[in-house]
Amino acid sequence: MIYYDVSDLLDHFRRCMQAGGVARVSTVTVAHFQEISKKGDYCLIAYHPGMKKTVVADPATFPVNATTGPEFCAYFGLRFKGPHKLDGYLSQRYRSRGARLIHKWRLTIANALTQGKTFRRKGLGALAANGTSTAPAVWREPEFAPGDLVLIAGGTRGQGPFLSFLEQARKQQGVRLAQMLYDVLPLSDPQYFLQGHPYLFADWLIRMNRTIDLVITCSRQTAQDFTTAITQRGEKAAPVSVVALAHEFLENAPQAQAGVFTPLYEQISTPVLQAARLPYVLCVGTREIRKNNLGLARVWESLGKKHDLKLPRLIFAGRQGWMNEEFDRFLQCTGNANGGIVMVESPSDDEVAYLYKNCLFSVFPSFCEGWGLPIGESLWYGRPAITSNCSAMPEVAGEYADYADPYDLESLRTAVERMLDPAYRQARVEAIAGMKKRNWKHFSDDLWRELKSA
Amino acid sequence: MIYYDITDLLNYFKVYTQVTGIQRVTIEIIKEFVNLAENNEKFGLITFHQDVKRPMATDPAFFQKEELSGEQICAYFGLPISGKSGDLTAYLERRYGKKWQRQLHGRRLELKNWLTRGRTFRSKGIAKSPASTWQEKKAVWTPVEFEPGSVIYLAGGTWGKIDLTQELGRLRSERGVKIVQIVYDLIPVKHPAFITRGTSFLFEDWLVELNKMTDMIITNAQSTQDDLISFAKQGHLPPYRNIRVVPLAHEFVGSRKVPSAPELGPNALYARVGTPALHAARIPYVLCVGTLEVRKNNWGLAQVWQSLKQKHGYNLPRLIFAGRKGWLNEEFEHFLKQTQNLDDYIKIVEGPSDAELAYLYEQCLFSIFPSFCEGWGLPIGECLWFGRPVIASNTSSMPEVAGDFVDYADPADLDSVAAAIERMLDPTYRESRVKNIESMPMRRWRDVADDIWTTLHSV
Repeated sequence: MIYYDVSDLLDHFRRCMQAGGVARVSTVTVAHFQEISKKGDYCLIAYHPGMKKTVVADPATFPVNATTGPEFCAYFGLRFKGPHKLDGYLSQRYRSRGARLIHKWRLTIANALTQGKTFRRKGLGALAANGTSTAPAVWREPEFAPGDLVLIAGGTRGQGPFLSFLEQARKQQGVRLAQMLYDVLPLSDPQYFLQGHPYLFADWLIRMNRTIDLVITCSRQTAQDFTTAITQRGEKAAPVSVVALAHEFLENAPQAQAGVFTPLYEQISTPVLQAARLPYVLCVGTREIRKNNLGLARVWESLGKKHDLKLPRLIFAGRQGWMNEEFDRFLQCTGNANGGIVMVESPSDDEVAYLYKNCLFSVFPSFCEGWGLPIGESLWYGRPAITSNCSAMPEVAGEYADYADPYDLESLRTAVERMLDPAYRQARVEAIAGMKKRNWKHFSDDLWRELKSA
Repeated sequence: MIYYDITDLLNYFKVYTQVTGIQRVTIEIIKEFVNLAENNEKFGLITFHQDVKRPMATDPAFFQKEELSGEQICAYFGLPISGKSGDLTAYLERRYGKKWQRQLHGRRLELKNWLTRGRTFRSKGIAKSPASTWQEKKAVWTPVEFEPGSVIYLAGGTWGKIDLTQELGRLRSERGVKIVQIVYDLIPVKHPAFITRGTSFLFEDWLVELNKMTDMIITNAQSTQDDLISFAKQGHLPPYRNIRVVPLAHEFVGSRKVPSAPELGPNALYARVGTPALHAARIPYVLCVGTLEVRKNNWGLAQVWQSLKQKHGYNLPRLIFAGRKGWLNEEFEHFLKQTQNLDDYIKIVEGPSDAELAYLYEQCLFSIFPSFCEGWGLPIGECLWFGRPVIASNTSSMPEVAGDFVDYADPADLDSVAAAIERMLDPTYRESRVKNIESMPMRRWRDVADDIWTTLHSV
């Protein structure tokens, strides 16, 4: 019997309307496991924050096609606490609480009177109704047998009772535990993290190492870093196996389209369409120091001097992260590198997909990564990618990506200049077309096989 | 019987009193319609104005007057005139965005003017409007009984007005009235990047509605017609019943020639053109006319200027943007702020009057219009009307305005824009383009009116 830990998902969907990156990968994996497993050898396990205990459920009724927080909450038997999109819209627009309240009522009434047109116009989409059609899962007490395997898919920090419960089950009932580990960067490259974070991470990792029987990492680099980090601390590292992540970018199911021109404006907001109106190169990722935003911006400024108007714009698509003051100051002082750099703040999944599809190529010159999703995603849409030659990044796409040294801006500049040449870019596009790309089903299959053989 | 819907015009004058480009064009066309109708046929103005509730018609003879001021129009239609003397109102509207500001400064200026015995208004180019001879007559509105076969011509944007569309649909099916709508562009659905979110939905609904209720659609460019046809195809709608193309004009109706030489008297330059415009135009410049919005590629043009400045140094003429402040143009504003208006090599003349615009066109080296997409591109023709060369985009409807008489560039390829400008900066080449323009057949608004009139009779 394999237990898949969905505590992370529960936590995520209680607060968020949409399944973002990791949560969506989990939902796909949970659903795919259900397809490939035989009856009675696969189960969901979670620490339920409502019942305050560890419970298990049969995944047969897992809402595969659900996309929103309320739908998942209905399944998990939780109350959805997350913000409606309307709240997000209001907080962007109105500063005082009173105004937000008044306009919330006004818009809701206006929307009811116009039969949903008001929300549609403002890009709020249809707000999920309170009652969903999702059938709730039947939770029950876990009954372990020796040899059962529990896969902990995310972090377990802040879930002390859950972890103690599992530790006890391991001791008493012979349950084996596996932990999914996406990176050990706080230990291998602590300079990119806030003070104190590496300590906490080290404590957690050592505790987990003593508890678990198997570590599954997404890259060979992470596996190696994990073993090194543990042995350096005088412990014996748990066995590690590697399951590579996918290249696929999980898009939302396309909405029903009227087919009138391309109704882009239904999914893509104006700032994104505008940023993409001129030819551009894309850099996706949270804007934090580790992603080398500053280095890339410097390269762009230098290229701007040489290529002038021929240089495409550089779009940074992502959320504002931490410790990136240098980059922010650079943008301010140089006027976004003389206008060559454009920011797209917190794009939605649809918008990121749109940006990938329409870019000339993408650049991902990060200093270190546990995997490097944006590299594969760019290739998934057939667009060439330039990335760093260190850490786990070369494992993502091998010869299909171009490489540069993130510590040597000259090499990054050379790589970008080469890619700016249309003939070379075309050659790379053609090479990518012949690439075998991994989707998330491949990932789930491999993970299942790994768990079975453990 | 042909009915011209002037709801748009009334809506405009309900808020403003100053007459600008679009209103002048509408008046010009109505005037010509009146002339054409005199011989044998009837022609009326109607409105579906929300204040009136039902279609009402009035006699168009009023528009035959040679020069109509905004005040006269407001008075005739019984609309509020915002202010006491026409030119003062216009001055205030140009200067102050808020109503209370206009009221406050109106009072202030009037008082100051009285104290300085008329010097204040004179110094600001405000002339008291002539004594009223027009107040005697007011528009007489009568309810319309539409005869079958009469034509309603909708020249304005009617999208987003559900009541009106329903009313028109009813008239068409019950009374056999024929409906002709003019469609200027499909930008909101074809290029949503340049439109504030939400507008596209309303526009799309309207296009679907038009498919059901119009007997003819007039577009002003071939490219708009093509867009309409593909819209119907992609939307799985039946093809639009009857699409005709009537190109717009090159003529600049705003103003007669503005004297450029210092000329004294009431017509003096300084009386008609404000100091900011004169000031901006004191040294050689290139002109870009249009609302300051993202679609007009202001940012791209500013980038080009930055690049040219590095190459040409102070030999580069300055770049003047003349237009109202629009929307979604943060990139451009950010750029200007960061570079201090590119060391003032870029100037903005905000909300120019017609006379100022005419002056700027006449005095420019050439003009540039690198917009991403347009339904027509009035500034292209207008610049040629003043005999100055133009560089425009090679996309959407813009090549249809004046064909070979214009130089072209790709708006998304700033390098090609720079190349086109550099060629035009050469005096010999520019002179050859000016010579070329002299031989161009210019289309006037009267011609447009004639064409529409003929088209309306073929419904």
